[in-house]
Amino acid sequence: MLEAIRERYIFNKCQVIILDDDGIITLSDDHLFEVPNAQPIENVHPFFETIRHLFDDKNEEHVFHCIHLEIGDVIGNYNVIFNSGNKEQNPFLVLYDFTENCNYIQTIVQRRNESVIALEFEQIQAQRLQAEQVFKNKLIATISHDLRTPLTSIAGFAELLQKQQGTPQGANYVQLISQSATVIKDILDNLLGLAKLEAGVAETQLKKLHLPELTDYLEAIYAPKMQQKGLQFSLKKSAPKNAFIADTTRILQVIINLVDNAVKFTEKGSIQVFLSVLAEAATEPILQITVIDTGIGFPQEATEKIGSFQRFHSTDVEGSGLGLSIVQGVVKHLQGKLDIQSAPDKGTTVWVEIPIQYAAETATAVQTNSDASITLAPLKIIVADDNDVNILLFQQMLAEQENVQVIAVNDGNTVLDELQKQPVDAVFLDVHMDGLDGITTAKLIKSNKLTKHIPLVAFTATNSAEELDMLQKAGMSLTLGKPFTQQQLLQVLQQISATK
Amino acid sequence: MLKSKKIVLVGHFGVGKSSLIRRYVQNVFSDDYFVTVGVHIVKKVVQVNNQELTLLIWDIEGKEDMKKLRPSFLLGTSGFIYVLDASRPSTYEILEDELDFIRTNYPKTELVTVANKIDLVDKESFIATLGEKAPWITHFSSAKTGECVELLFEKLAHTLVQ
Repeated sequence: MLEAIRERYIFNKCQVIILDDDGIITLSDDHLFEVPNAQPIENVHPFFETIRHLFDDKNEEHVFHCIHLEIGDVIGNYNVIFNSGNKEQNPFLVLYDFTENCNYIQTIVQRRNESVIALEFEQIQAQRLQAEQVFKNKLIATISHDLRTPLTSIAGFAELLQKQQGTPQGANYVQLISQSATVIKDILDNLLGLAKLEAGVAETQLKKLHLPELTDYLEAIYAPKMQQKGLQFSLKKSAPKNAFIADTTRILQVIINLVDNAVKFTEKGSIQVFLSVLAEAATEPILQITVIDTGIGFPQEATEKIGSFQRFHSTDVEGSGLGLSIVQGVVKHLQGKLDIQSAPDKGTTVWVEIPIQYAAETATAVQTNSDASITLAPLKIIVADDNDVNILLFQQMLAEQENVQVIAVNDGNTVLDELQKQPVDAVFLDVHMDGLDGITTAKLIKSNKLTKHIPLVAFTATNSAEELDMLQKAGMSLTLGKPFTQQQLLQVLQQISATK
Repeated sequence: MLKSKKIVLVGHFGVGKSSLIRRYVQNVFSDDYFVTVGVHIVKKVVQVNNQELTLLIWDIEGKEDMKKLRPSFLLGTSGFIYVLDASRPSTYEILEDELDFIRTNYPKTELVTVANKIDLVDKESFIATLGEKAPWITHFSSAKTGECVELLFEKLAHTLVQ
């Protein structure tokens, strides 16, 4: 009876394999699986190959726990004892079947590990959300501060202007208001640019890169500012005679943000800007931008974050605006390199390298705005916008155009009513109007055989290719981006006028 | 008889040790996580310098601490692959201690360190996050995409026969 119990509960769970000193199987009880007699043990499973070196040291015993073996049709987990034997005793293996235990442990460990990993990801997500919340709050504070300055100027000078209309001082106020509005537009452009770069949807627009034009432009913007602040400003360039193309808009954005930051943080001394193109036959040309200031500088940790393209935002360097984030994002987008050296009270030097391209003959043509005065054929147009200030601005911009008759309305339904009453040459539609919005109105106009020929112009603040495509599909073949200048409005009208 | 070398993959649980082996040996991948209990051993024959070499690859259950591994698992190891998960910082928080443990206790054994699941993170940001630990990482892999997996094993195999 004892033997029967042993047979059922012990022998069935255990196998003994006797080997010779060369690892050849000499005997096996085959209780767990069959092994071929007179064959090297390493032929049974790779596990045994990995313990082959243990045969050399006699009188050694090793235990290997929970070894997963697949031998023939038998799959299991075994505790394996290996004894290397001695003069009296051949080497041998004893295998205990722990498959059930291992399977049970596997279930428990699986559950435990999954929950630990899930918890870790929850914590990572929570930290990320918290960091984003902090960033968002600081971003709002920064933007609110940056916008408040030019808005204060606009409100203040507008008030003064009411009292001094038509005087030279009044004209000066108008200019200051216009400059402040440009600052607001630049802040919003930067914000939009940053959002696009972070979303990875920024496109690259190649245009001719002409360093003299670039430096003239920078000189015009910065020389007065530097003079006003009492800073020395030097702007140097060097480039071979080849023609180059690059994403000049974004490159300018990089330079402007770097110089703006330098101006902001430099109270005395100088700001130097070097622009040079390195062009050797064997490699692609590189535009190098170096901006050196003698300002307050910032700590080493901040420079490391920028150089490594680690997520870096304005809040990391108090008061730096969106500038460094934009520079970082643009340089990365253009596959360039950025390096920075700075120390508190010793100034900052920023090096940027951006790969550019040689210009092919066809690629050098640059679209330029014509300065020629615009003449329009007689036009009757509808402008639809739910913002009365925008309508007023639109009407004022066309006040001197006697040939253009403007019908102003506030919603899409009124546009459709007006089209029933009279023929018009074009309809300008605000995309996001209350009630019947611009897109729906456009679709209704284009679906009516009596009105489908009328050119539709979208008023939009979007730069998103996806949204622009949607406007096109709705039938709005032209767009007028907000904010727009009088020149841009006239150019759109000229296009309409030309097709009349 | 073919020359053979034992390679052991170590590192925390869930870092993708089994997935790296499955990608390398069978060229397959599954997103499902299946815990390894004990040890699974597979072999693969590779060509190194026009000679065949058998890699005996040990896939050991993940542990947060190398010291908790059974020493018998590591007997006769020729090369360690220390695997961490680039998307989980806890898997490389004590990287220095783990690598020191291996170097101290197995000084003659080759060691490579691989940041797996690199497809789940931005590589540059990850390297920046690593800070001074960054130079210790020798490979950046993804068992999911196959990135750097073959290179990881083949380079180690070449080192082992030299």
